[in-house]
Amino acid sequence: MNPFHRSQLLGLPLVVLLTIGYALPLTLSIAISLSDLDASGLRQASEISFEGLQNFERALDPSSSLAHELWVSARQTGLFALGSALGLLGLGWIGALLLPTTSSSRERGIKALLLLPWAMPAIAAILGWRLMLLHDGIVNDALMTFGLIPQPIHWLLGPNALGSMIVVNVWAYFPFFILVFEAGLRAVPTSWYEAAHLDGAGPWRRFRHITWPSMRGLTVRMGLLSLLWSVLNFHLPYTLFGASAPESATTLPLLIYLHAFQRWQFGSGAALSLMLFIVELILALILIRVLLRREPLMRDAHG
Amino acid sequence: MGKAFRGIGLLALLAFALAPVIWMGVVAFTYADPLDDDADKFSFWSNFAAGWTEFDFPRYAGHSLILSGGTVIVGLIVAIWGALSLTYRTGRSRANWDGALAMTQMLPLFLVLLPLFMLYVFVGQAFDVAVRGTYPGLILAHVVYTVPVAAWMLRGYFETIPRSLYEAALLDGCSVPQMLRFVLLPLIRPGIAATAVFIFVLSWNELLVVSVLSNADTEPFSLHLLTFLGQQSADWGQLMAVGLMVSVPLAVIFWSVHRWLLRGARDALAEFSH
Repeated sequence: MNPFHRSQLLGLPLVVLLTIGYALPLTLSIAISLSDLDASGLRQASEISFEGLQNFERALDPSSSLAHELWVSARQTGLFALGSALGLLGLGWIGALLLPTTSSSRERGIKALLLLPWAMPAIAAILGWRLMLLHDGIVNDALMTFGLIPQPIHWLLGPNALGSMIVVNVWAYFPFFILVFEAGLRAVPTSWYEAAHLDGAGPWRRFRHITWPSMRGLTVRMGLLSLLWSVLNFHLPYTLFGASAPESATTLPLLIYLHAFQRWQFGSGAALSLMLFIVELILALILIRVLLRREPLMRDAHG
Repeated sequence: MGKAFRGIGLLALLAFALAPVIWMGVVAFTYADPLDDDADKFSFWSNFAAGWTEFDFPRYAGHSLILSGGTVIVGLIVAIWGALSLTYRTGRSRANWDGALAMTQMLPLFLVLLPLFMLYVFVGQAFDVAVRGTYPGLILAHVVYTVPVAAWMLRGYFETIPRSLYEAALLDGCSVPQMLRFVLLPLIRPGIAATAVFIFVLSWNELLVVSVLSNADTEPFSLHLLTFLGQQSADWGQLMAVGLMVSVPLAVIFWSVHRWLLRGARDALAEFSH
């Protein structure tokens, strides 16, 4: 029981916020998704008509152009989320293992510098990347100077755009992953390693039987978190490419933005958003149920 | 692991982390826009000076300060009260609250933004009151966006204080506001600061709401970076200069609270397993 159970009003602001800020808009969005609301309907309510599930049917009807757009966008979003998760988990683990275990001033300096991408305001930093990845940008210049590529590559156009977006996403969040994994590694009791060492376990077996079982729960959670974040990320593609992103980088949030606020088709925008919400929920539920049920965050000394 | 191997690995990671920032600096200090008339008079600080006047740095940084600062003030009040009511809940009620808060993080912001946009347009037409494009309209949207995660973080900080302290304070006849003021808030001051910075940064980086709901009088800094890029056929020197002008103070503030943010993240991650 909450210590304040007598003052029930305490939670009121949060309840009001969740109701007005989330529950009510969600209900209204469902209503919008069942209509053909567009810019003219916004001026004249009589222009709005009820359409039933037509917006959803159009989005899922294989012969419509919207369904094609949606399918490509969903696939690219999935690739973006998976690529980012792999990159973030990989760099996070590598960084956490590489960071020195002593708490010297040099280590604090390295950590402070490594933290910079995470601490920078996102939009300015992504624009920095956009400049670097231009056709005549520093990335192409550098690669050509070292003779790695014969001619400049279009990093922000065509199929390459997806890879560029993954790299920028990994860059922006990998310091956070390193610090989380590092804290996890430090929480494993050193006595376990000492005991294993005495029992004659080599580095691989110590990793296999102590480090990895202790860190598996954390790794799974961080992977899940990055998937959920990446799928909903709007500011990255919007900043890196603008509203005219190449097909390979038009992730679902950007696609919805184009429908709702460039073509002013609120009905289909709401329908697409609801489908994205359902996908997120299913993703989260599957991962929580299947992967986390038997995975405590830390196997601590109490078992 | 070999010492040399570790050193090379760390250097590679540092290079990856810092290269874009260094390049931003190089461009800001040395790149003269070829389309500019007085490109021959270019000096070290030219892009920063131009950013101050041409980009109008004070105007747009000011817009962002009002929006994100306002969001912090309103959001923190709601989140502190909310977090307090979530503290030390157990069993079903805790699981339900966790579920509701987690749900808000999976909801695409569009589903909040679309009805809000309709509402603002409707109020504007029906009552001739402009809400779209005003700070209260924007702050409301950003408060909705930031409060759930802020409340979740704050609950973690509140629960670092032993339960007995709450009960003792209540038994001694403290009202809830008194208890907050004299007992709880002083104990978790760093946690409050970290949450405030987190809300501020979330609001500062938010693009979707502001690109739909703001206008020329309220356009925040981040969005104006993109508008400026569209208008001025790419004056990258100036863009990087103004980018650095906000990045330096914000990165320092963020860095000063990052330990507490990590602690909050760790507690929130542990919450999944209950």
